[in-house]
Amino acid sequence: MLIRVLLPNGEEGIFNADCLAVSLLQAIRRRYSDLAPDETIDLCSIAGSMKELSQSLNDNAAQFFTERELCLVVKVSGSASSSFAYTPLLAEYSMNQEFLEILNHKSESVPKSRRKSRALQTARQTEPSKVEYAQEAVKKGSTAVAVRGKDTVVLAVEKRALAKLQDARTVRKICSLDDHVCLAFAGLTADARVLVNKARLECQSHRLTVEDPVTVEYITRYVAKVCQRYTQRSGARPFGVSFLVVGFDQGTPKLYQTEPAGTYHEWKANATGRNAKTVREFLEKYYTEESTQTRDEAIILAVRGLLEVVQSGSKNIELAVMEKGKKIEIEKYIQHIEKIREEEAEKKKKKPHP
Amino acid sequence: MRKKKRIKKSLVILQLLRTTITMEYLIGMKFNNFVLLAHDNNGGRDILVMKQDQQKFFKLDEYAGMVVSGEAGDTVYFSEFIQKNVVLYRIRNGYSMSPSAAANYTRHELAEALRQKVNIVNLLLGGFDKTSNTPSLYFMDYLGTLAEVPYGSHGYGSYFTYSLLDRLHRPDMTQVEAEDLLLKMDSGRRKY
Repeated sequence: MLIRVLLPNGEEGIFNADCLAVSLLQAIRRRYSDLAPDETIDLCSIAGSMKELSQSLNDNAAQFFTERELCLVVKVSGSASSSFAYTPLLAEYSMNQEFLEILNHKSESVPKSRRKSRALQTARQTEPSKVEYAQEAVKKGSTAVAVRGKDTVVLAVEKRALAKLQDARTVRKICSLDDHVCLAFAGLTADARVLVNKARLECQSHRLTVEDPVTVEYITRYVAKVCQRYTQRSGARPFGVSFLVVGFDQGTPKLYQTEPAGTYHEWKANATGRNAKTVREFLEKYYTEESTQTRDEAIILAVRGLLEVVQSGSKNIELAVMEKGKKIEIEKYIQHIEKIREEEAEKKKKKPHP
Repeated sequence: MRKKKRIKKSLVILQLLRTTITMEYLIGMKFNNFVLLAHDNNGGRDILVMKQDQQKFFKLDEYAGMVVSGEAGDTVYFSEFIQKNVVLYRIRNGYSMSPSAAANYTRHELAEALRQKVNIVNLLLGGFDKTSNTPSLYFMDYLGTLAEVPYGSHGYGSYFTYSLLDRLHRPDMTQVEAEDLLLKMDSGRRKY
């Protein structure tokens, strides 16, 4: 197949397109030797549609052209990650604004088949996966903090401001799975409800079959397993919840975190939900084995961590404490929270003084 | 061939029916402030006693408990299943099942099992309802019978206890008096 090429010096050259694209471009370079060797060139039709030979150098050039098609030589700048910019090397075309627009406006000039594959490419690069959507849902949920002390585990959650007429008792972000395990969550409440139900059933089922209460790790692993199953099922979306599971394994306190992806890890102290990063940084700064020896110290650490990101006040915080050998206690620490809030307020007052 | 199989199955059921009115003995008595449940300690089949410290009492969470008798494996399997489900109810809902709820749930499970498999379990379920502050005693048998009773009994010994209890049982007895009464029942049972 022969094609006609308008060279930059105004001449019209005839080239054989029945070769590799790279060879065709090399032949054009040999004919018009004013091109710098590192400049990428390509061809475009008179109408302004790029042939994009420079991106398929090892393909046969003939497929891009029609017989005796008239083409322009075009300089290519830019890269695949940013968009390409094409400049025609013929003066009368490079000056023509309309032509330049058509040339560089890829969505119109790219042939249909090529357009689709490129659209798919970009889509694959930028479209978030279902799991990422679920993780976003977690990031929007209200904050939950958990701290593991020596003989205590503490859960503190942010209570969202309720509507006036709404009954506060019906909003439960801390759930017990068994007498010795409980959890707090961040994310979609309905998803959490489903998973908590399954976990509760599994706790009793475990007791029935092996005559032993679950370990915290076992039930966390079970919840994570269910979460993961839904990330691989067609037609179903992953659970948009992240759990902080706390409990005691025969006297040893434990804290685990699960994520929508189906992973779980053990932690000494952690936070999840909105502004979790801030709280985690606070905990990293102030958590030590010594600072969480007693029950009160663990509670104070958890509440202070939560107060970093939550409007202070006992109305906005729900607290649950589990001690070795005892059942979980909820909502008895309002005095603690008030005391901490006062301390924090005093500290802030003292700050401006040198 | 088919006929033979049918005869065999009915023979098996007859044998099992015999064991329902069995050497095992359960008794329950309700008084104004408490319920008393008792069971014999023999574990075995009919006259062959293999164990003399068998536990037949199953606690149903905080406010109820039951004593169970019948086919050896069925009793424990069924009781543990009920036990775990009663606990699950509390964890799911935040409050315990009342004794009446527990009794009706147990009966429901018994009745469902009746036409699924051979499930020979007789029991007496006693409990104390915290909200109404009243004790309750329920009689249940393997056919799914449920009756709230002031006193009840299972086993061959029951033939003797009912007549004795009709005469001697008073709802206003103290715990000490109740235990005495129990011993009387026991001596009555021994006579057979």
